[in-house]
Amino acid sequence: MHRIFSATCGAIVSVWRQCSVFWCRSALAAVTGAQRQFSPVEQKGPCSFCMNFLKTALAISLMAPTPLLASTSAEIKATGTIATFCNISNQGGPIAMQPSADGDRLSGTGSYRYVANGNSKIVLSALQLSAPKGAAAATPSIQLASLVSNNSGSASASSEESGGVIRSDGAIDTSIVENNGDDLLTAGDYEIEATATCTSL
Amino acid sequence: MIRAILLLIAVLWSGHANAQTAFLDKREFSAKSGRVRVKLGVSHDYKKSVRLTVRLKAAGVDDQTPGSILTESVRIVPEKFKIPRNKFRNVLLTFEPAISTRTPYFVCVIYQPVVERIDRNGRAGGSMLLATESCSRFWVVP
Repeated sequence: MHRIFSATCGAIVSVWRQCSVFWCRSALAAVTGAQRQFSPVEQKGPCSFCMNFLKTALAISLMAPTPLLASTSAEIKATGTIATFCNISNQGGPIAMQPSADGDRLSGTGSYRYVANGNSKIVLSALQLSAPKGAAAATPSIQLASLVSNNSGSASASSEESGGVIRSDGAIDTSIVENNGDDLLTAGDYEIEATATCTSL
Repeated sequence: MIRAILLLIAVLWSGHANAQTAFLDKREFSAKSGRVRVKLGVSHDYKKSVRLTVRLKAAGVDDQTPGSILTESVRIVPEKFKIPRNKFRNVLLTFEPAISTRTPYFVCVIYQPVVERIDRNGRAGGSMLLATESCSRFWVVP
């Protein structure tokens, strides 16, 4: 269709030129009074031929779909950049831990959301445990389900590097478990503090 | 800046996450002049205005893990600020690294939840506070 339309336009332009030349010559002859011998085709009325051709060509053009009529071309170029980022969120705020019936552990559950648009990883810091003064030994633990867990008071833990985009929700399981021969947690208030760090690589 | 705002809008519209984010357009900076200037954008989507802290960290156990917080020759403006939800804050970080090879650094924005006393109705119990931090790694070339 595009070729047909181009050919039609070319023909229109060509005929228009011929007519212009004929009209210009006629006008010049009228002004100068010069006599001129017209060719048989011109005598027959080239303009009448031109007009017929033009009418046909215009009819074809008008029947063409609108986009084909817009024969001009425009170069469109669009570019954009998106910064790499990631974030990890603790959806529910502080997590309350409840004691077990046996008194040997405290446990609680929360939830996290992990979002990244490029390679990233999660690091869970060493856990800071606050326990009642003189409390028997206990071990804190935090687990971000399917990502990373840590039960160390001195070392951090890292997740595997995620590739590409990721948006995942998961549970945060936290506990403080007795670590003494009596299998009991000393009565009182406990607290675990930690930092989950998401790093966009 | 416009790109960062559009990105922020896209991120915030994509789901409520209760998280803070550091947006860093460039990932490589030159230390030829002796000073590195890093521009970043910070935002969050917590329900209320929250106080965020920006800090610079060196690499830790490997070049993918943030390590210790750097303070020497480091200037962060503003370093700590409180901003409403979905607002965007530009932060300028400058520092003077003494490096001879291409070195990774991490710019991090941390939210530390306010410590609230949990009412357990007189029962013993415990609580867990999980601070969250978002870091972006960038490289500095000498």
